[in-house]
Amino acid sequence: MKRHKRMRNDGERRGQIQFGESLMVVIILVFIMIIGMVFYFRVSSGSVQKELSYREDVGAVTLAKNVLALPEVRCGRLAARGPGCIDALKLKALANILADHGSDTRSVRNYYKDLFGRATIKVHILDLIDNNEEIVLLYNQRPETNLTESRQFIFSTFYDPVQGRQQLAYLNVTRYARRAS
Amino acid sequence: MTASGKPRSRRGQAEMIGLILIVVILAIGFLLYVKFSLDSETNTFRAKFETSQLGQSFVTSLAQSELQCGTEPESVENVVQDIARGETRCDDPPSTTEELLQEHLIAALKATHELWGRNYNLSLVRGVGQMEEPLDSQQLPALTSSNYVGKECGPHVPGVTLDYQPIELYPNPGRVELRLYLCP
Repeated sequence: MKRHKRMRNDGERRGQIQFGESLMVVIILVFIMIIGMVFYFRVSSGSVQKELSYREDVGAVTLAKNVLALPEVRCGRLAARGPGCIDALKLKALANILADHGSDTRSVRNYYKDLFGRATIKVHILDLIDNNEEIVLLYNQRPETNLTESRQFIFSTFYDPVQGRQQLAYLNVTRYARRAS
Repeated sequence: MTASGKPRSRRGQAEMIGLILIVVILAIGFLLYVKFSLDSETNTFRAKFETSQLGQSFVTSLAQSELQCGTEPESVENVVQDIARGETRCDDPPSTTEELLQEHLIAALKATHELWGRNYNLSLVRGVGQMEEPLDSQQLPALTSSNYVGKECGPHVPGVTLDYQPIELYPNPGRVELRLYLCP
């Protein structure tokens, strides 16, 4: 009788140990799966962020190239000043129109707003003889809140037909994107 | 039979399943690692694209930009052609044409790549056929970033981008290349 009882106790204890063992295995497996899922989702969200950032950068390069190709700012063919040349008089005239907040220029501003979107476009003109830098703010549509910035530089030349001088310049294009935080 | 009463073969099967699980988990980890590696390759490509965009527009615009040649402004392209042909019409004693050009290039780099902390190497190389040599290694040495002393940028650096603007010397043979290396 006693022997039978002891054998039953041993069996219960062994069963408890085996149950605990199985439970530990399940807990460890669940833990590993949770770590794997967290890792996977982090990698996925990271790659989405990278892709978005890449597209914004490419968008900024495209915008900079589009600005240089605009007949409103580029040098005339007769000037024969090479590709990517910005005409000083045209650039300053356009910058003045876009900076004007009067009702006469509203349709023009809306046109460029559609063309450039949310961005800031500056032209840095480098006077390498006097070591000066002049900055012309061509366009500025910066949203106020919750934005990410993507900045690109692209070189160009700046030709002043009055002075007959061609200087090194670069476009500083910043594109803004609203992104859910 | 084992002491616990389970057949040996069943216990062996359970251990095999455990082993397979470990192998599967390791395989998933390896796949994720490979995925990460490929992502970083894409980033390198992107960085190269951006750097190259900047470098090419820089050398093209620099060749068209003008410096003071006597009383008249003259483009870098024309001044380089003069130097290659041995003409000295831009000489402004005590400065030589080469010195004026060098000053212009240094000022352009200081106002841009140097300011942005980039590691660069700008040189003028004369090429006739397959032969290549510096245009004037004495007066027009390669210009390198002062922020990276001891880590000079050049073709040997991994991830470097090369952009160049050819300047033809017609009717003379050959050409001069304005070469810009940008290092990561």
